Amino acid sequence: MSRKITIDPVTRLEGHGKIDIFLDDQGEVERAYFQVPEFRGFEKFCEGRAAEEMPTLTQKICGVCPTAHHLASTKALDSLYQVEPPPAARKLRELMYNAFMFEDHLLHFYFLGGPDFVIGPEAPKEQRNILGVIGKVGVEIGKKVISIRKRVRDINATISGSSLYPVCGLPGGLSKGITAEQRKKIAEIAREALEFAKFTLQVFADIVLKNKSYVDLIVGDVYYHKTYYMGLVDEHNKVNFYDGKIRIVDPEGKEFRKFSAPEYLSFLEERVEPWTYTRFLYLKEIGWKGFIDGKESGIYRVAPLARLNVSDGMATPQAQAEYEKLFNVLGGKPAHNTLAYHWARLVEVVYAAERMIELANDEEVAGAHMRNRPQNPPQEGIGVIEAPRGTLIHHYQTDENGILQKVNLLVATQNNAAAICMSVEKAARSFIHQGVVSEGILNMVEMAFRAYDPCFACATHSLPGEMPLVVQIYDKENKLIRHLQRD
Amino acid sequence: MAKTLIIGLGNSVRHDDAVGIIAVRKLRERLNNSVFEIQEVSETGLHLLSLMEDYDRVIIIDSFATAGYAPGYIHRYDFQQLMSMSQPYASHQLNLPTMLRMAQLLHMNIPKTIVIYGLEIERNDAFGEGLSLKVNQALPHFLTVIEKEVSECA
Repeated sequence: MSRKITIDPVTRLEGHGKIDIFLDDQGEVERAYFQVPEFRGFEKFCEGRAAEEMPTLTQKICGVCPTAHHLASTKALDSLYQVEPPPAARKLRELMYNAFMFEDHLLHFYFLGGPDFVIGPEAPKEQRNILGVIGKVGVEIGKKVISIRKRVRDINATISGSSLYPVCGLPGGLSKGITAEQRKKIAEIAREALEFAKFTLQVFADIVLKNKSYVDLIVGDVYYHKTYYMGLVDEHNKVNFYDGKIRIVDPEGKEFRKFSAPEYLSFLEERVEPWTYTRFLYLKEIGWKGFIDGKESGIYRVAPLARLNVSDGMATPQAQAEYEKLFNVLGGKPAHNTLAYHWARLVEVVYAAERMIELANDEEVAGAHMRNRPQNPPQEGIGVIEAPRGTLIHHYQTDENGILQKVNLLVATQNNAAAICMSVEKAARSFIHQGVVSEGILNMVEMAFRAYDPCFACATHSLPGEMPLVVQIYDKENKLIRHLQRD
Repeated sequence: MAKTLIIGLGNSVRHDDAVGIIAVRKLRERLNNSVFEIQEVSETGLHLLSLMEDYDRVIIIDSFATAGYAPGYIHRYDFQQLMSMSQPYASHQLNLPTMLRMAQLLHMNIPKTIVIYGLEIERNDAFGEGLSLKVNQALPHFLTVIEKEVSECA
């Protein structure tokens, strides 16, 4: 008798998700589905509104990455009104953005993805959380995490006008600048952030890399997919979160395409499947071949490991050293090891801190000229940014008064959605045999997608929202025969 | 005088999910602002925790989407009830009891009194403005109940 196991919703990821695993008569995995109860209609909701509302409105899509949406939207407005921000505003935007990336990535390591390694993938669930992490690394370190996060968020509050939802982005620049004193203060916090980033990488090295079973898990076959990769690079093909060209490399690491954001429709296409609301992105020229990896499949990946894979290096020295270390251990570039996303994320934390220092040390960021006023009539605007969870594109079309006629958003997790499905299915097939599904096994399946830090555009806050993990087993007639719940 | 913070939690463009935000906007007009601080918040987890630091009392107003209660039903949980639940409070990052336990572990200065008020809602599955009819009808009584509790303790 075949049966269906549902993990719904998945715990400890940003937003809500559900996994259905179908077992065959022998208790082996027949198929696994990763589904997202996506909330539709945001793009339609925006149409008919003034385009300049978008930087603040699009933040409402998601309570997790408001700064990414704010700046992708602001850049789309630059493009819409054909106006470039002055150098000072551009740098200040990038500084604010690196502060956001630092905080978001750090939170993921200590609170969301880290517990699987710091505490152990098969440890009791009561311990696999931030409380367990603090128990392992100590109260003082816990205090430091809270403190540095708060101080880095203060950088964002100083620049963006709000500690959470930026209100500073305007077409052609920013609504205000910072003072020389504020610049110095930001530089001081950024230096502290770098020290803590290095400390965190040391924690990762001590706890994960010195543990052979963890390293085996990272480099092993279960969490491994040979795919294309995509991310933003600067003019030297180095990682850049704020701006640059979109670069795609093939599974051998060879450059496949490199293009500007406005050309995205020539390279990326969406695929709809009947069992989910998610629109899966894939490479148009390669085509959709189903949920398979390899050079013949158009599935690609984004976010930290992908960004490192598509680049020729990091633009800052200490991040570059960590980048080299990562690829040395993983056996060269590109690295196809899904769990290495956690490591790549920490390399990016170092980069974000170093880049904050560079920008805060530049006196120009405290300049007075923060905006070039738009002079041209609006038409069409496309903005791109590297969100923590991958490449994010905002595309607006307006009438001559700047009223939105059409909105298209390609959100970060959409790029990774097909790969996440493959990763979940592969982990399920590897760990579930003869119908044995323990709590530890389920967590090992969850780890396959937690590495991506997926976010599902779910900004509801209603209680109870995230429910305990539910496992439901159905027979062939879809009759519920077993119900398990993690309380 | 004890410092009280009233937090309206929700997403202002997702129909009934906005009820916490709408509630605090109305309370701002009705309550003495020199006694209470009021904030509209759309993020939970660490951000919510950091907002609560250094207050004596925090009232959180949120939307509830549970099975088994009719739209308009009023939920109320105090700190003790909250801490005794395994995972009663949702967030996109971490649930509130875990956050509060972490705060205790790290000796953070969290409020002695935390109360969560929730109004059972009908829809939050699409983007849009405006509350559903039943939630809108329940709102005045919901506000009266909250106003009574916060004023009595002020």
